[in-house]
Amino acid sequence: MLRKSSKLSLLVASLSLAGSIIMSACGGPAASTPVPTNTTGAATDVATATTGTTDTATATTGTTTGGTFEGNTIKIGVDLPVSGGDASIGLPTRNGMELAIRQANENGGVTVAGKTYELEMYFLDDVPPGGTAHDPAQSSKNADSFIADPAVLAVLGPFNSSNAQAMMPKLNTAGLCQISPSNTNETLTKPEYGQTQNYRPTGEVTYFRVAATDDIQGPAAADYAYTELKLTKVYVLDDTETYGKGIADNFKRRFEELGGTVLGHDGVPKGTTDFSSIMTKVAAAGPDLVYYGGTSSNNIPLARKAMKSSGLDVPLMGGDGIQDAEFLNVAGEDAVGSYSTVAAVNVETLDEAKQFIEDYNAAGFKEALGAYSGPGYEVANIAIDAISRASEPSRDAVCEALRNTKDFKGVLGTTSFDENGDTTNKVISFYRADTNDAGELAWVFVDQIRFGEE
Amino acid sequence: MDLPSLAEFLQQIINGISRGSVYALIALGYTMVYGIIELINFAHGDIFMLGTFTALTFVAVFGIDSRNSALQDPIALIVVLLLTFVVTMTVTGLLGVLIERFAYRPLRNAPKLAPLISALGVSYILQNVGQVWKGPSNITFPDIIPETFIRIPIGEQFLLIRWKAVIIFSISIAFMILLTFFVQRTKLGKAMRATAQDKTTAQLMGININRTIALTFFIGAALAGAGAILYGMFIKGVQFTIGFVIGLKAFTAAVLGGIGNIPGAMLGGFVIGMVEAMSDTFLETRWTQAVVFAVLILILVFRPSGLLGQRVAEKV
Amino acid sequence: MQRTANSPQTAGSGSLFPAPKKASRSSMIVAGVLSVFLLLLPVPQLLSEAGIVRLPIRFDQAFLNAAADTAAFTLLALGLNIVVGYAGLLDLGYAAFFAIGTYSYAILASSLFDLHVPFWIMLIVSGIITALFGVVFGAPTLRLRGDYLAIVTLGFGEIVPIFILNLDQLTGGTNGIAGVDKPAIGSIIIGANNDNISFYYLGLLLIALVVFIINRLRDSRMGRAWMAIREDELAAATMGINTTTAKLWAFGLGAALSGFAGTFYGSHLGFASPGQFSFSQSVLILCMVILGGMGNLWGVMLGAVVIYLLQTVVLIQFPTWISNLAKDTDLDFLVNFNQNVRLTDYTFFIYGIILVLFMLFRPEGLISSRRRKLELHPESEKISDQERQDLYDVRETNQSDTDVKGSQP
Repeated sequence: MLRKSSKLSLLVASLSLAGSIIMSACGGPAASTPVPTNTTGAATDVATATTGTTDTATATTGTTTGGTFEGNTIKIGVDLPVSGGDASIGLPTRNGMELAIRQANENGGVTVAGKTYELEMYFLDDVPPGGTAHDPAQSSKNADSFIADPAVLAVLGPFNSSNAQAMMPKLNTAGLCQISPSNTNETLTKPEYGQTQNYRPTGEVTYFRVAATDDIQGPAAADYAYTELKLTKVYVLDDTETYGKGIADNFKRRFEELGGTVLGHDGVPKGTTDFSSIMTKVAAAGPDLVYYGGTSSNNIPLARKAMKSSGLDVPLMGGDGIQDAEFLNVAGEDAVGSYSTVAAVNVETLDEAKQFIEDYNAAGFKEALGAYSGPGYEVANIAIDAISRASEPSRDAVCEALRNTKDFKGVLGTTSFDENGDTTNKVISFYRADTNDAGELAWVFVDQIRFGEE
Repeated sequence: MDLPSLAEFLQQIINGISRGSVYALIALGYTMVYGIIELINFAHGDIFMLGTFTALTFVAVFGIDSRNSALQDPIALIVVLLLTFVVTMTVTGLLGVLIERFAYRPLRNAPKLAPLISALGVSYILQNVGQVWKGPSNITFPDIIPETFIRIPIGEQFLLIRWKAVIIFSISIAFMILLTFFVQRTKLGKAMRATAQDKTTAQLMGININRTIALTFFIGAALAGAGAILYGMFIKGVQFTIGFVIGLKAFTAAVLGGIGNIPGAMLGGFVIGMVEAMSDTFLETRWTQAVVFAVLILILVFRPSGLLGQRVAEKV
Repeated sequence: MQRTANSPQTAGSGSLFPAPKKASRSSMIVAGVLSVFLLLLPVPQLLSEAGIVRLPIRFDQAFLNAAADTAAFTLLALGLNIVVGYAGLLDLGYAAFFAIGTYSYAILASSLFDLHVPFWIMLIVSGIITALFGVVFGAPTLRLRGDYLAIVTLGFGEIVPIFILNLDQLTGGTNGIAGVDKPAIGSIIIGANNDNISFYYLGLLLIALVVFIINRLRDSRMGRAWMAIREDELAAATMGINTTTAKLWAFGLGAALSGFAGTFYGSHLGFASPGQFSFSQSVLILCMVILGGMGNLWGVMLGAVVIYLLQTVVLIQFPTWISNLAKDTDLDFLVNFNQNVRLTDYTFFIYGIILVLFMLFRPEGLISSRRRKLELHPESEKISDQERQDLYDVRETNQSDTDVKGSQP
């Protein structure tokens, strides 16, 4: 039996070896193509390679027509976290996108190169099965699924910067463009931070976003704390994730520049539930503000509660990661006196957005308008606009159109993309957790600052 | 790095003791079960988690939720608190018995790894039950007891002791004393000790070992239920994932104290709580978890019998 | 009956032991069919890409992507099988070695430090690095009893991701490492343009190689020593087996395989982040081993395929399949199945049930290792048969070898 099974494994080995050799010698269209230095080529290749694999909904022709696809439905891939602790911020964002796509279809779909297509959202959650929060590895897998479906011409999302890091290189080599409503980590797009060659291996920009980056959001929060709130001693904490640590570092740098004192900076990993000793440590340092970079799903609301029960009665300030219902629900009354920033305009202050807010409320979504519903709606519309301006229904053409997005007038104001894919419409808005006019605990809008073109 | 002031240091010791009290209560369950059937009950942490959910659901009946916490009337408060303990401990206790009956008892004579893997499976099932029951995100655990402080001046600073910390500490010590008394002085306790020593002989002596083991599971799980209420009041927020890590730390505490040893489990709980508080103070919180697990590994490697345990030759 | 097991031919033909022969022939057929099936799996996709056929079902790059990942997890399950299935050491922190393997490759073959060690060299280097970690960690801990060892490995599994997260100078910390190199043969890059087919074949090749090695290893002196330790450590030691060395080998080799798997996985995903290697990942791999059948190579591989595809394809797609089916067959009440039911919410429940039910009713797994089965059913009457058979249950015997198992009269 032994001999036989050894022979068997040998057989399998040699068979697979033979298989691989055949594959790499003559096999699949893309199986043995070296990474081209020319992006356009790469994008076309992949689109070609995957043509003919659409599901039953779209007719398959199987022919390779230079990266376009034949079918009646154009799909827009969406990657957001909508379960676990991220549900309260992910779902309202997705609703915004869904509204935009629904409206576009009601208005007759999009017309590309003389043919009218229906739009469809291809949604994938980036919270893994059984998970509690966003996971970069899941986003990476989702990226594969989007790439594999030739009907997907653009991707919206992800929500979290750590997930963007995982998706960007894949979508970039596939020549599939993505627009994030909310990623704020500055290293994703700006070459001066020395990371971009990892995220865009082809050198071509395929990633766009409408949120202002953390090197604006963090310092803006520092400005606000130091000059508006007149707070001078801060203790900085972060949740050890890409976004949380990044924004906390940016806050710290600016706060020190302004002349404030940073008493300490500790990383508190996600999954921490008992904040009593860390808050004792913070309280002993005697700060008049705690800045916490991170997301609500990483237990910052519990930290807020622990501040109160450690006798530390000073404001907590955070980035857009805590501006959600989760923070208010869990922290309850203790949330009062917290501040947060959002890297986008508060749509409720804009005349352009009145119609959107009405539509959102009329659309029958279960979740109320969130801080990123507007940006979600906006990125979907920017993508739809780019698809309609594209010369042909291909990923390449859509990317080209996206890069040329100029003065797009939407619910966030007027948006153009710079050479890195960042928005030129940079607004940071400030919120305070407080009782609103209706007597409910809410994030109350206090102010917003517009940053000019650099 | 700045050394903490005296007040801060003392404050951290108090923090360590308070979180250690919760670990201690859960560690008792691990230690009892291991003592009697030599099984690391992985599901214990998740029984604890379901305990927090039970308590949460129960107090809501009295109108105590995230919006209306803390009853004002002291008598009502004590009654509700007592009822919460009774109900939660009964529920978790019965859950423990149920798990033993269906997942562990059939495997009592199987190779040792079989019940361990089964326990792991039960742990996953309970976690999923928690997730479906209360959803995947954090939920506020209401203040059943109002949050008040004792202030003790030390130099220019204050030592701030939460009344809750005092209550948690006293309750866990009280449970330990009760349990020690039960195991050492009552007939049932004697039966438990006999079963732990030698099941066959115990059976020959007329002890119903199935019932005795079930009782052990009931008491262990009920103590986890008590720990759950204390945890909820102290941390004020619960999530379906908390059982795993807290269970693991409690297990570390049980091993540290000497597994099978009741005062040892309590001591271990306090030590682990203290180690965590000190790691938060002197290192950074991002290292704390690693420190705790390093302690676990070092103890198992160098002193598997724990702080209070006796070195016994392994039965073969 | 004399020790006919000396030569495999006679072992098969001995009329007293027809069962093994039958099992081996049928398992051969199954394995053969399986191999051909696996080899041909991507063909429909290739044909449809070439425009030759039209696929009735969705069977595309995303599916092949999952298939390639399955290959990585199969390698992991095979590695864990050495530790759990052969040597009987419960390792609850196997994902830690997987993490070390993936990071070894990601650090040495990405633009993080601008090191680009070739994939093929890294396969071996990662294996050596993880094996070293396995041995260094195992040396002091392997003398612990089974359940204590389980806890120590669990602790190790928790510590490693924390170190990866916190040593950000070396590992990129929370940002992880993006842009990990793809394997290349000369100037041909495998998996360029996110193509998964060649990765799938690479995975198959690696699995075949590993299966071949493990198969030889199992019947070597070391392999027999492992099984002796698993069955009775004390008796094994008495028979002159150096149990510490044997266990260390099992641990080290198991770890080395996870380095292998990590390299493959890292190059396929192109990304390494500290969050990928949690305890639930260790349990996932353990589930694969247990579901398939501890100690049985084919079983373990089947377990890996079933569990991984269950998690990545079936649980996610099943509600959609039901809905589509309902649309086609006018079963109105099921049309919204995909909106009402999220099977992925019950992932842990399913794993838990698998672990418990298999322990209770079929501890030997789907495809059982004969010896393991008897061991796990101690109450069965066959136990005496087993003891009798054990005398002859030595496959590749070299008479001059000290026989580990069957030297009692």
